[in-house]
Amino acid sequence: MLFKLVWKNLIRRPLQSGLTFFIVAACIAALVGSVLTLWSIENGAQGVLDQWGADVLVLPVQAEYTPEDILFTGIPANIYMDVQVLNKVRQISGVEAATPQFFTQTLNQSCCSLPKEYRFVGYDPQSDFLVNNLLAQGVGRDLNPGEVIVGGDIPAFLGDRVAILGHPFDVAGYLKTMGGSIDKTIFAPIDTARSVAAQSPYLQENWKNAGDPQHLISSVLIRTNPEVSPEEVVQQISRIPGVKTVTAGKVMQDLKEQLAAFRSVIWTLILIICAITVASLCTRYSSLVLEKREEVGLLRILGAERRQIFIVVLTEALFSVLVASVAGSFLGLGLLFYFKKMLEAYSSFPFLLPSWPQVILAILGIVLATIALSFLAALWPARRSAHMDPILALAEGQMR
Amino acid sequence: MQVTLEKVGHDYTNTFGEKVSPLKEINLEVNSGDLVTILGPSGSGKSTLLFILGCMLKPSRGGVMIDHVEVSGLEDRELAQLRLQKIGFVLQQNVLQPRLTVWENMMLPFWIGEAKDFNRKEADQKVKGLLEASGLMERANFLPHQLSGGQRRRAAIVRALVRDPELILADEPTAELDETNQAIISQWLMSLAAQGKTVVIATHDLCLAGLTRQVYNLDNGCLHVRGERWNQNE
Repeated sequence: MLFKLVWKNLIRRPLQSGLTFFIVAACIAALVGSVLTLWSIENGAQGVLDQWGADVLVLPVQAEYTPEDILFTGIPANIYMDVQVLNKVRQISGVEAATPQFFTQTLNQSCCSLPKEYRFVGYDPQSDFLVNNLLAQGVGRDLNPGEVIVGGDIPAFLGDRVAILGHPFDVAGYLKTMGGSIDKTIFAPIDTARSVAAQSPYLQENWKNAGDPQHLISSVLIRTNPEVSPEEVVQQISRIPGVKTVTAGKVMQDLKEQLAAFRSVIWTLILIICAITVASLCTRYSSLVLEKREEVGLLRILGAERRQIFIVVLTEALFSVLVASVAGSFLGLGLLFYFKKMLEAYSSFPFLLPSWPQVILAILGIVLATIALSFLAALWPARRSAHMDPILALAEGQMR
Repeated sequence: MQVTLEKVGHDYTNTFGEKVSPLKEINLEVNSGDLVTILGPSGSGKSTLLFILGCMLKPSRGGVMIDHVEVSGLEDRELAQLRLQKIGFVLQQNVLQPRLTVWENMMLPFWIGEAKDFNRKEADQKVKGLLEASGLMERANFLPHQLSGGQRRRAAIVRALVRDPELILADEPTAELDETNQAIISQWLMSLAAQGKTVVIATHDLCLAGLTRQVYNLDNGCLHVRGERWNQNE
């Protein structure tokens, strides 16, 4: 029955209740936002590394982009080298498979029936060992010249027709969502991509200095023989003029170091947030004990048991926490999507949300941990209230 | 209800480590229908004595018996039940829960009890009847700070009575009140004793004491009988 008293106390002290609510909601929002953002970035990075599948990447020597840029943002590098590079690479001992790609252009509404910016890449279906492995649905056969495969973040469905640089294409397959630039990539057979580039007047600037697009490629992805180290292959490739190489090991190492640093920053901030929250709640609950002295004295005089006082103080302390947990969780999800938007716009980090059951589990974990911390913070004040000398409590309360 | 104090004394240590003994040796017996006043200057230990009678404070020595049961042997839970079921306190200050309306303050003793302990309808009727009798029904939805001093004091008395206690302990019930409110409250306390309740009042209001049957002086930690209907004899 004393829950009525708890409820009245909460709603008729909006400032104090609101303060507890704000502390907890802000903590949970910050934790949900940061933990899930970190998780999404790690998820995305892992997805990109898994999807890449190549041990060595060969690029034209003039490529100015970092491997991370190429990996994660897929900056449409209109840099080209002669297709002969592919033949030379294939002759190197230790190269198990080599497949070329041709970066065409970033596509948008001005040229194509696409709602956002996507990159258009030509790949070689015969030698490819990447794209086909990432198919979520469709194809299972050689891609026809008028067909494309779309990334997981492109709103097109099997059988849809899209117009790209004045050419109609049928969507023959779409890829799994990986969290990287590949999600925003449209893959066409390399010859088709070259033809589109050659025929499009405003793409001529991109390739005219390099030669006929039919003899150009942008990169070669290499899978090495397991018995040969990628470094040995790289050493041999370095003898081919006009190219440079990036090894997957180096990219992964760099990426892992970057992620480790990022993780340290986020976890340090999370620990600071937790410490501030616990300190704020301890202060808040200690004030609650002081504020409630007169009430505790009165309740004891009216016949309340210590156990009841303990429950009243604990319930009052934790009720705001429970309500704030719900609000904080939704606020945290809002933050997560805001961070996603920001990271996609301004950073090269891939972002892949965990599955919804994982997200819900993470939120539940954070909420439970916060409630447990709040419970621990409220335990001592509740016990102190319950064991207060009622006469002293009344006298001290009246002197406030 | 019979309450007996036998050689009750109470000591405490102040912040300077000095031993203070507001009550040295108190012997008192009050029975159903008794209206007892304890007179004494401020700081003489009247409130301490009421707290001991109300099972809020364990005396340093001596025995307190309520209906022949020694209360010092009771657990906190049993003492709380005793206070809830049998004792009504009117505190010196107008202690009403500031965030509860007058009506909710009156319901507080019922909320403290178990739900099975009372009938909601009967509780509502009881509170309504008492508020009407005290002229506070129109203020039932007011918060305590919206009441006058006299209204707050009357509300505090009503709250002490809602569970129909057998023992009523009133600490300075007429202090700081105007004459009209003093008269109302004095009449109220007298009628409670007339109904068979045991009423003990701690006060330095001689007018109020003049209306009671038994008057004691608390002086130097000891209780002295001042007389019955002493005002008529002086």
